[in-house]
Amino acid sequence: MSDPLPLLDVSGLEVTFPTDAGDVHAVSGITLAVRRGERVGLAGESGSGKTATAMAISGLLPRSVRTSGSIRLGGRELTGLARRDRRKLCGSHIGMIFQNPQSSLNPALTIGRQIAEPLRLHLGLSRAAARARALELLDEVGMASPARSFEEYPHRFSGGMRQRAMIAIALSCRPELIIADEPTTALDVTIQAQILELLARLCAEHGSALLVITHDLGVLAGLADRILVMYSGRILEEGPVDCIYDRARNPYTQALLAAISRIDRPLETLRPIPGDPPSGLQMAGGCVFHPRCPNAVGICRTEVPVLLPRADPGHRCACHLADQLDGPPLDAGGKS
Amino acid sequence: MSAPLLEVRDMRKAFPIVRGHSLRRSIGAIIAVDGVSLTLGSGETLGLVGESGCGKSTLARCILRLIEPTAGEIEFDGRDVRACDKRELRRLRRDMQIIFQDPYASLNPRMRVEQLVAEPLLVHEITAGRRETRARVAELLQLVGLAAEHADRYPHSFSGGQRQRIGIARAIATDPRLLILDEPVSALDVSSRAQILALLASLQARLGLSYLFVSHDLSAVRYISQRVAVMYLGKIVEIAPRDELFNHPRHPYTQALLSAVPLPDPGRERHRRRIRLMGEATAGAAIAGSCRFRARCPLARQACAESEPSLEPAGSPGHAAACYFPEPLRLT
Repeated sequence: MSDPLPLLDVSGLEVTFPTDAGDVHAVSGITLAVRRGERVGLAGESGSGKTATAMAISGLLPRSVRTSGSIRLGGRELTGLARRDRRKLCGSHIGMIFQNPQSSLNPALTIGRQIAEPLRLHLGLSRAAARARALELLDEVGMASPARSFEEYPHRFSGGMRQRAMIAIALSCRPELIIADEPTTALDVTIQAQILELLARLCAEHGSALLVITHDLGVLAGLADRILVMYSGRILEEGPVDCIYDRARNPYTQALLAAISRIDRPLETLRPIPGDPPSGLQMAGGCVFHPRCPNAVGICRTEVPVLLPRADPGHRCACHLADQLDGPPLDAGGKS
Repeated sequence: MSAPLLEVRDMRKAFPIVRGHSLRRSIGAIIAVDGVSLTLGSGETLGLVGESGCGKSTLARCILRLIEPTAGEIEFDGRDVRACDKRELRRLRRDMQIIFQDPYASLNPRMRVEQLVAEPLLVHEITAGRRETRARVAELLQLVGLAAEHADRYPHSFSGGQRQRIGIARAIATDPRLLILDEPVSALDVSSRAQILALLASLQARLGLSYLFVSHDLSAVRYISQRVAVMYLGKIVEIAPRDELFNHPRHPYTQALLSAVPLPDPGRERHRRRIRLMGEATAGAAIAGSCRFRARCPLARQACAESEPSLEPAGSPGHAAACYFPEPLRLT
């Protein structure tokens, strides 16, 4: 945030889904910035509003969904734009990677056509130039034989190969920002490692910034420079990656970390978070996490905590008790 | 140890590749399970790990005969499962239940929780009369950590973790001795994943269940299992007691799998040595007469191309690996 002009600058973003049972507040006024070339992780459970945030940024939410707040990309305000202009702008400046490549690739078109299409549409390349560039991209994302993959249909590929194809499509217009929503959740561990490494390498080579959305903090440790932790539509903590893993101050971040079963710690250190995340329909007053928080006191039920700076630069935490609670209980009984 | 509860000997399953419509003919076969033997003791958990396409789910389904195996023997509690006729099999399945990965797809959306959990009780004629059934359903819901008022709701109103609890309640309704868990936590968030793992561990302690825990998630397998078997392209390539496997993996594939698991620790992630596996395991790609992992193995040598290594004892008791060069390696 010290950067005078971040690449992506979201402030006061609210997203509300109207449903038969009433309005669901998926995102309640969050502020988020991504600098050029930076890799940011947005972590939270299902229902935390992380995907709604991504969809709002890329302009992919249906018309019935109400959004407010400001989303600026490279200094340009996106929210007031006509749908057409918005789509054009996002198409060439933001690359999207979704969790399930099987359902986000068109089964009726060859992989090559799906990579070449945005090149022709957004960059105005000729058919031959688009084909040449698509072959280059397929090679770049590690497809064994680009020329053959170009002609193949998605069903012929494994999950990992499809995700590589998705990455090629996302990178095709050399976007300044790539948004990856659970990019490896559906994949096996060895393929997950390959895809994460590929994403990190390609973003560095292309100078693209990366916003990775995931429920698994384990995935972000080796990938992100900075992490935001989201719960029930609000950011509860944000900071540089080491801060979040080693000096988390928010009880939710601490609980999320303790709920990861990890292969390098004694088994007893695994602690589930009791209860379930709120549905978004009935929102508790005060801090959104208080119904599940082990430390909640009176003020947590009545007043919403704001994000306040901590000692480390860039580290901010929204918790009434952040100053009173001693260090994270994460390492209790843990060894390294 | 007394006789194992479950013993599988040399199980094979081949799926024919069929061409043509009116003139259907088989042009080959995908060998999903290629000679697997394993045992499971009473009250024990055996973890079965491997990547998609390695045959672990097929193996699990073959054990219950949800898929008919091509060859091999299955012995459950001293009985020959493959020799059972339909009626005997139905009786046997009271004692052997399965839980599937996707709690969204495996529950009938038109049935209330009470009906869902009562179904196995009625099918197997375990409870007599509505009152007894209701009481047993209430007991089961409590056992899996759901409240009595959940009984009247439909699956759509539950979170993924809660739906998996419903699936578990259904599976333990018949008071089984063996539960086959096929990726039971893979579709869940980190926080509900931890809850379900803790629930499974406590149910095992209370009810004396045996688990065959099938998953690609090594950290979940480590949490729940006493012994772990690693599968690659239809075969077990390494098997060992839990801590032995995680601390002293011998097979290069196991070593690579472990090195690929992300650690929630940025400092260590930065300096971590990863074994990079090229390519992917392709089902049916095993080449007869050579090591099936050879094409992706960083250590492959001439011997690996000449014949296939069998599972041989490696290191401590109960540890076996199918590799000609089972070098110890410390990863963490």
